[in-house]
Amino acid sequence: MQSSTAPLEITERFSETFEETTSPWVVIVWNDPVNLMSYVVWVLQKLFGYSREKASKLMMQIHTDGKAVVSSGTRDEAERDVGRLHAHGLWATMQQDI
Amino acid sequence: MARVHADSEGVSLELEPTEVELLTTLPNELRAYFDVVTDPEDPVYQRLFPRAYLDPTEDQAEMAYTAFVRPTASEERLAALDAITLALEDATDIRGGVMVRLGPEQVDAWARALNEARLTLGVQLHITEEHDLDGLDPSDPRSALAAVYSWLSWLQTELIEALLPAYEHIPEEAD
Repeated sequence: MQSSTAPLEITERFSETFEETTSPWVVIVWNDPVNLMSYVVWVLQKLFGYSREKASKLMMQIHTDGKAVVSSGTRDEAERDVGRLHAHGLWATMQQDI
Repeated sequence: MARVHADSEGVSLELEPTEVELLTTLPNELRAYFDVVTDPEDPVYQRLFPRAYLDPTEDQAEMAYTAFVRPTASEERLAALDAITLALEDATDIRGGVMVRLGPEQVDAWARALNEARLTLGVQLHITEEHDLDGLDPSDPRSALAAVYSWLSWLQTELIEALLPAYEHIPEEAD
């Protein structure tokens, strides 16, 4: 019956929208064999204002674990960060952190 | 071989004619990848323009990223390539080559543009984490390209060395 399914649909749609706006998106930088370690540290410091220590730690994590989360935020913020990382030649992707 | 001298106001580069020639050609070759998409399956293209979303169900978002975010990034990247071309036009002739003077913003742009060139060569040379170019046989057909790659790596390293001190004292609190 339509009248009984409608509220559920609305709830589902609402919860999807809710998730979309509340769950943060994470930006991941993946290891690649070309980017120099010092270059990656410099890019992370320049783009995110990270300290040398934090940027170096992230760079080592990318190097040894194959990837690291470098920033997080709304979908728009994550897209902007991915764009800036791509502009610097880093292999970056984004996904929702559920 | 080029000489690099960094000071508090930037970097001076002494380049030999073959190096000038290389740095003249490379930006042009790279610019081609920013024109019309020639072949989206081209591994060089894929490395220069990776997907933002790995999740294939986000294809629509990926298209929006490509349409609205990527162009800004591409403008920045093309401006970095221009920075090399323009600096070479302003070069001063010295004995055995030219002298190029780069301010901090130009050093930044050069470091990024050289990185683009290295990414491209990295794909063409099939460089992987397990397989770098150390110990490449001189008779290997890739050795000429490999020499270019390693020269670019050297120059980029020198430029990053010049850039990093400005970022040395960012406090932990900023994290």
